Amino acid sequence: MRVASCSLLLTMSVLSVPIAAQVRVKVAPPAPPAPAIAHAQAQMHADFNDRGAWLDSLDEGELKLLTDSITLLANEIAKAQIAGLEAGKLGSLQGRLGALEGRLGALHGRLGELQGQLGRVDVRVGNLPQPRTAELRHPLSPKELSRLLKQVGSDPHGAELPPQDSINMGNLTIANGTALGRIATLGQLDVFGTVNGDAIALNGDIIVHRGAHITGDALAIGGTVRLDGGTVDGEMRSLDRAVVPAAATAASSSGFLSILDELQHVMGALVVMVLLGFGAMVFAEERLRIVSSAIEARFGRSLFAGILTEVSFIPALVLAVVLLVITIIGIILLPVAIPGMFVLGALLTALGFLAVSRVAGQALTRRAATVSVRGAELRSMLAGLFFFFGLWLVAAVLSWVPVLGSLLHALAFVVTWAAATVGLGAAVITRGGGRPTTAPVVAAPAGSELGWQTPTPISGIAAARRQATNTPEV
Amino acid sequence: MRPTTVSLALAAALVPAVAGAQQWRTIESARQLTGTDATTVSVTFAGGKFELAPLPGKLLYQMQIHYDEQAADAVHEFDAANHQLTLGMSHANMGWRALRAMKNDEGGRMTLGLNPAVPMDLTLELGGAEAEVELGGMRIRNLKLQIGLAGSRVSFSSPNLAEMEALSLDVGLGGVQLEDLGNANVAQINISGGMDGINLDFGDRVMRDVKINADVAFGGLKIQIPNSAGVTIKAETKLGSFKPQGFTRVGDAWVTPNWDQASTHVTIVANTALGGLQVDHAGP
Repeated sequence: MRVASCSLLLTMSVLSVPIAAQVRVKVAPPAPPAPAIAHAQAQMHADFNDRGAWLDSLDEGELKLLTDSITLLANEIAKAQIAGLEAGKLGSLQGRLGALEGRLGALHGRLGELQGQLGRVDVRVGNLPQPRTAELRHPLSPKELSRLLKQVGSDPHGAELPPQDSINMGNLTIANGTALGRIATLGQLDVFGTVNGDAIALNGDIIVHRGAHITGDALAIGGTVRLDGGTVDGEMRSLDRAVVPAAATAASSSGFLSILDELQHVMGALVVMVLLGFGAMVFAEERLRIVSSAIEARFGRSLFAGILTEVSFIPALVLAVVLLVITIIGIILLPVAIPGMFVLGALLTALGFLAVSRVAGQALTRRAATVSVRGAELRSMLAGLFFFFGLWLVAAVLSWVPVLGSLLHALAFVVTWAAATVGLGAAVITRGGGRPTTAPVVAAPAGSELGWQTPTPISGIAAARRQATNTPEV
Repeated sequence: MRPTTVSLALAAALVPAVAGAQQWRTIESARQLTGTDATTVSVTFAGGKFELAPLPGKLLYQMQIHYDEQAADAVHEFDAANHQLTLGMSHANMGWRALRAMKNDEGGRMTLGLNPAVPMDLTLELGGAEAEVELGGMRIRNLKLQIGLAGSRVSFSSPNLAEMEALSLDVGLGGVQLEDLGNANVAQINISGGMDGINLDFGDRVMRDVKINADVAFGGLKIQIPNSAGVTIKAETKLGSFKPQGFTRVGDAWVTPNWDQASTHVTIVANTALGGLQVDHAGP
């Protein structure tokens, strides 16, 4: 009985190693039925990895010692049986068998330890019916494997997987004449038989050999699907990797991503306008002042002119094209004139918007500490820009709120459009700031710290040229 | 000012970096051919490079698509009952965001092969993709091309094995070149749009009588027809030029001298604006 028990345990340990523990073991075909010795001999074919030792667990010497002991013991038992089973000798053998069982128990503990180290163990599985050695590598820890399976399951281009404990770990061959249901393996999948359902290979190829039949989809993630004479009723699909899909991401974080996207655009536009503002302050300061003055003095007229300009832009463009194409010189000028009209419109709009920002910023920074005139103008303009773009930033941040987000966007649009229209109109009626809108230029009172604060009497003088200030500029 | 400036700079630097993150992936999809029933094929692709060619063999189609997963999603659906095949990108993703993402340095790309044994009603919606489409030897019954921003080339290097009822060409800002169109075996060609020019080259022969309805602006329409075919043109050009050489004025139409003798005929009804119409009737 003890011999049989030992043999059984040993057999289980040897045969279970490649499948359950993924230890690198090469197993020979089953030997003829001479139970104890045959299994012991099978163990002699144990192989080890290239580094000559088991990874982080059993070592070669330990396993060989165990194997030799069992072999020796089996030989002695056989001799004892032949010699007539002397009582004392048999008792001694039984004692050694008990010790051996203890060591086998320890071996099982080590094997269990190995089972938790799938990600770090190379696998070589012997195919018992056909002693062909296959190399499998699946450098995934259980946590990584779990994550991969989750990704595949949630990826719309992935597939529904069997339960994790039903997924084969390693290369898998479905033999000819074999019919299985939905199958998934972590490694290469060779199909010679039939898969009734989807066939899925994770980190491996699917090869559909001649005569093979997959009734569902063939999905290879991190590999390819290759037809080698077989049939796939469904789709053959290869993914470079499984990902949590953008659609799913969008479902869970679409608000965040769209907010970031919108913020990106708003911030980009703000940066552009700030740079344009600096440029205008340097190269077109006087024009900016004149347009600003026009806005203050003739708000209604500027708004009307802006709307008129917007409405008439396209007809004017068409008219310009028509007028140009009826003359030879016009045709020559056409490639320059049409883009030029767009550039002119953009420049006027930008100038006007900067001027509106400046005027609006004056109201916002009225109580701010006094600085130089140019400093105050710059501060006003930046404050105005931050105000207008701030509306868009707030709308973007709160865009996830169903009604409020839409309302804020509408508000930002209306305010921005109104500002741009007024600015455009002011820029148009001042001819781009080249012509003051009002006749007299009224100097600010002497000693005024900031000329722009009091240039325009309420009585209706539209704008005034700022006097030079005594405040040193910074 | 300083905190504001710093905040602004940080925001300008970080927000685009975060919001613009891309996640590229590649998907291959194929199906085995199970029959040769007529199939409706819809292909959509936003930007990057697109290639389509016949795929002889046992596959109905084979597609490889490389795209930014953050901006778009791939589609590979086949309705076997209704014989409808939908490939490429989701139609909902055909916006500027996807186009911008797919046109960057890494670039989206899609390669598609379709089995020539299957009669197809084919729709290609290519957004801003640069397309190379070879349809020679296929069985195209209807073809609808929607080309957006980038230039595209479509050719029929060998005869279309099915009679094509109509070829609809809707072109946006990009130009398009159709080569060996005489092999398309098409009865009617409808053209609209085209800011960057449309070039129809019929090649060496015209397989059957074809009528071209063109409504083109800006870019102009150039048609090259072999002189073995008779041609009639009814053109209305606004602010453009039309100077047919080798044509005779008959009523409101321009007709080639070989109209009565020619075995195949091309009738052109064109409305062009600002771009002009040019018809070359030469060659073999």
